[in-house]
Amino acid sequence: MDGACLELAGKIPAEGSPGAGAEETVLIRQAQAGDRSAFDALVRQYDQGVLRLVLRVAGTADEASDLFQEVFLKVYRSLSHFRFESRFSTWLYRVVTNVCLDYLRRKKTRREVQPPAPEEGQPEYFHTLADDRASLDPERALRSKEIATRLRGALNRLSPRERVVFELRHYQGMKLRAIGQMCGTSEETAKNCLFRATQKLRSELGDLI
Amino acid sequence: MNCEELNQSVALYDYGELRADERAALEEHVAGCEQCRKLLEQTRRLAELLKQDAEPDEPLPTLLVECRQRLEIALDREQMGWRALMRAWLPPAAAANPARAMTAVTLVALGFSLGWLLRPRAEGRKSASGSAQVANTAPAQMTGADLGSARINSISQVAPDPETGDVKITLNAEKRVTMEGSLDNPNIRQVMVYALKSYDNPGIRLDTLNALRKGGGADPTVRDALLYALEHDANAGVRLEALRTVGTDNWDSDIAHGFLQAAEKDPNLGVREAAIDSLVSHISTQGDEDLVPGLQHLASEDSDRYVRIKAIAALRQMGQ
Repeated sequence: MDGACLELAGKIPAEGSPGAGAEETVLIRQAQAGDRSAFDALVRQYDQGVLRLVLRVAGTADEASDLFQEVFLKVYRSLSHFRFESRFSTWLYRVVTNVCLDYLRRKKTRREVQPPAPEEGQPEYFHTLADDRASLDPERALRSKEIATRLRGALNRLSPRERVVFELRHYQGMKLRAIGQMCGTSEETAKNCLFRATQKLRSELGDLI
Repeated sequence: MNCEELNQSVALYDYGELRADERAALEEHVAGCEQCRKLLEQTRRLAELLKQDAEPDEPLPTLLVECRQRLEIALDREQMGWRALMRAWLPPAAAANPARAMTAVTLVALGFSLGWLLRPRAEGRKSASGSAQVANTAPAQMTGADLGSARINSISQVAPDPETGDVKITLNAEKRVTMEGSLDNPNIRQVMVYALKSYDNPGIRLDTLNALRKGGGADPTVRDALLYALEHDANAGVRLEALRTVGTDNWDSDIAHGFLQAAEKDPNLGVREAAIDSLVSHISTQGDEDLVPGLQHLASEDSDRYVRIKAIAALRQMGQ
C-alpha cells in the first residue's frame, strides 16, 4: 500500500446505490482467489470508514490501530466464506461490529472505564480536536474539553451493544436496518438499542443541552 | 400518537428512521403538546452537541498511513504462513481451492508421515544423513514447481549437519521429500523461514534456529524472521535461541530495538536477562547512544535486580 497517497473514500454506499456493483464483485472474487492486490484495493474502499469508527470506539490511536488490524486480518482470513448473500459492506461491518463489541466487553470487565490517558508526548486524540477548533478562545477551549470529557464518559457508560449501535447510527450515518444486519439482529432490536442509548445520553448530558 | 409513543420515537424521528405515517403522527402530536415539543428540541440539541464534538470526517492522515503500513506487514506475514506457501506450491487447479486440496493431501500424506513421526528424532537425524531410509531425496536445487508437485503437507525434521554446515529438511507429502543443501540456497532458506514463523511444532522451530546459527542469519529475510521469532514466538526457549542466533555481529537499529524490547517486555526472565547481557556485550565493544533512554528506563524501573544492575553498568560504561 502506498502510504503517500490518501484517497478520500466516501462513506459506505447507501443501500440500493450502485456503488458496490460489478467492480466490487470482481475484486472480491479475485481476492478470494488469492490476489493480494485485489484485496488491498477492497480494503482501500472501506478502511477510512472503519478507522473512523474504531477510533471513536477505542478513543486512542494505538487501540484504534489494533482494532483496525484485527478487523482486516479477520476479513482476510474469512473472505472465502463470503457467499454474496448480502452486500459486502454489510458483511464487512458485521466483522467490525463484532470486533468493537468484543473490545468494549473486554474493556468493561477489565476495569472501570476511564477516559483513555494520553501517551507521553502524544496528545489524546479526542481532546486534540476540540483544542484545535477553539485555539483562539481559551474559555471556549476549556468548555470544549469539559464537554468532550463528559461526552466520552457518557458514551463509555453505554452497554457495548448500545455503544456500537449508537456509533454506527449517529457517527457513521448507517440506517438501522443495515445496523441490525451487521449486529446479527433485527431492525427492531437495533431501534430499541438506539432508544436506550439516546435515553441514557440525554439523562447524563441533560445539563449541557 | 400519545406522549409515551412519542418518547419512544423521537430519536428515530431525528435520524429520519420513521415511516411517513409515523412522522406525520409525531408532528401532529408535537404541534399540540408543549411537553413533547420540548422533548423534541432537547433531542435535537443533544444531536447537535454530539456532532459538535465529533471527530472530523477524516481520521488523522498519519494514523491512516500507519494503519495501512502495519496491515501490509501483517498481511505479508499471513502470506508467509503455510496457506500461502501451499498455495504457491500447489498446482493451479488445486490453488483455486487450497483448503479442499490440502484436506485431500493431508489424508493421503497421513499414512506416509505417521510412521516417520513416531521415530525418535536422533534416529531420524542419522537416517536422514544416510538417506537410505528416506522414501525420496530431492536436491536443494529443486524448483518451486518440483516442491509443488510433491504436495507438501508438513515438516517433520530440520537437521543441521555439524560437519558440513548443510541442513537437511524432511517434508511430509504425498511423496516424502528431503531437501539437502547449504544455507545459501534460497529454497532452503525459504522453507526454514516458514518453519520459524509459522510452524506449530516448537521443536522444529528450535532445530531451525540451531541450523541458522551455522551461518544463515546474515540474510535479511532470515534476520527479519529471527527478530520476529524473538518478539512473537510463543515458546520462551525458541525466543531465547532466536536472540542468540541473531547475535551482535551485524548490529543495526532493528536488532537494537528487538533486544531492547526483549529486555523490557519479554514475559520470561531468562530471555530478558539474556537480552540485557547481549546489549551490554555490544556496548562494551562500541557505545550506542540510541540505547541510552531504554537502558535508563531499565535501570530505574525494571522489576528484576539483575536487569537493573546490568543496565546501570552499561550506562556507566557509556559515561551516562
